[in-house]
Amino acid sequence: MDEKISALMDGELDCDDAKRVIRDLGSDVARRQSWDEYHLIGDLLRGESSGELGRRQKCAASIFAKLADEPTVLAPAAIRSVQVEKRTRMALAVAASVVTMSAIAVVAFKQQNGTVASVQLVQQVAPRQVGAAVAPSDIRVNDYLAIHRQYANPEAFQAASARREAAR
Amino acid sequence: MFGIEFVNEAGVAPRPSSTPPSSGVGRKALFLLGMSVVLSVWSAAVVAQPKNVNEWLDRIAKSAKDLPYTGVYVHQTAEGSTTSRVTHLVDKQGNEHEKLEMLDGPLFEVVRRNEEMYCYRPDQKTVRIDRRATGRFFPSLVSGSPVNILDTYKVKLGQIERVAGHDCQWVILEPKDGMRYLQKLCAELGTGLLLRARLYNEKNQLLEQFMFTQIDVSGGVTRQDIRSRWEKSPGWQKDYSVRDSLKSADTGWQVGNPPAGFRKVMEMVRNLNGRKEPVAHLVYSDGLLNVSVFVEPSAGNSVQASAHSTEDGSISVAIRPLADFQVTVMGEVPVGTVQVIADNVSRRR
Repeated sequence: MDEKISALMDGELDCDDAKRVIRDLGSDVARRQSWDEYHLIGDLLRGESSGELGRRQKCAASIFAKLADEPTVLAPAAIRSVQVEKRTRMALAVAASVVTMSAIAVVAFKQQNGTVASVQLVQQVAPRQVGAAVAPSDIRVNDYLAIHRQYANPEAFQAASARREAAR
Repeated sequence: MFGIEFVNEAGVAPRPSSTPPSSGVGRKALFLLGMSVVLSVWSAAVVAQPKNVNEWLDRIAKSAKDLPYTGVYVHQTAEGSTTSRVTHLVDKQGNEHEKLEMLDGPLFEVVRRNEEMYCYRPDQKTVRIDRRATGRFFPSLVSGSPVNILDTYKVKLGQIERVAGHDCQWVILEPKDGMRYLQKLCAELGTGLLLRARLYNEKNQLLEQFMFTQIDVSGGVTRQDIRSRWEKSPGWQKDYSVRDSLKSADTGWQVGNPPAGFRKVMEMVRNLNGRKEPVAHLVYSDGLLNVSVFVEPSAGNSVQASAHSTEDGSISVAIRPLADFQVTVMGEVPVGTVQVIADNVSRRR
């Protein structure tokens, strides 16, 4: 299934397959978690969101644990920057309820103290220099999206919480 | 023209059968009054069914707020769908109660009493108290008066269709300008309650859909039905932090010249986790769609002006610096709308 998610993000599925995977994403917390983490990988590789990395250490740790299990997911992404672009666009395409979910996760991670170690680990993996493109306003926008959407999709809020617990 | 009141004192719209036809009155009125007046009185008395878009919009708004109902609806967006049960009741004191149960995924309930929302999370045994402000909650999607909505939308009646076992009138709302999106609402013939709602972007692509799959408007909802199953459970904690951080206040900010039809519906100050300074939050609505305006000190961060939307178009976001502040505007509207609103934020004098 995770290969399917990856293929969906790369735009490699036909319409019917894509529909099936998207429907599964909507109903399966674990798969949605994979989906979110793959997007975070894309962000990290492109050097985005670096300002959040320290705060996201727990999340990053769980990603790297995942990467250890699935090297094939990371390797093509690192090499094919075009694919990474596609993934990022798909990330934007995710409807707002998922954005809310991520946003709440970010809020939660912000409350934890980051360590330098996890940031360095990420910088080793990232093909481009991380650092200059700190975007504090992105974090703010995520907070605001969560407020604006309220609990139009409470399940997303729930899933974010479950993910947060899992990352601890 | 007479305004036609469809809702009686108990807050319940009469069923068509509750008012017998009165042709005698109709005939007298025919001679005494103008034709149009007669027609509206007659139609209200006999059919009790809205005859024009004004009345439909009015009824759609009122039925969602006043009627007792319980049903299951599907909320569909680009990334999938979720199913929820909504149960609604107005008590004798006039308080509005609503319970929302998520039927997919982990257990979760939201119980609303007027504008106060109680969000029950059984995994943490926590009730979080929040205030309803901006969220789109089906079937209560129409908040503005018909007159205001008709200023900015060209509204027409579409087909009658059968939805969830009920006959349903489509009401099409076409934007008169580029500041809002096409919406299609389907209202139950007898009560006016929304059974379906669709939101489209400027390319006529469906962004969002709500749809009842089962609905009961026969009035059998009791107080027990709008209580959370965990209301009396021991060991739950109440988290008031969100609600207590909200203060209705004059924030000192305004949108000087908002796009046509948008009016301020709420203004408050919020304290957010991770921010030292409180944030001003203003909500503008055109009667159907909401836009949030946030203003906070930029605190030394350089703010770059930008405007974009999520690729599925469901939410547009505009950011701009304003002296030592950052203005962030977002909503279920085109990018141009949030941009115009952001550009018009200023200090109130």
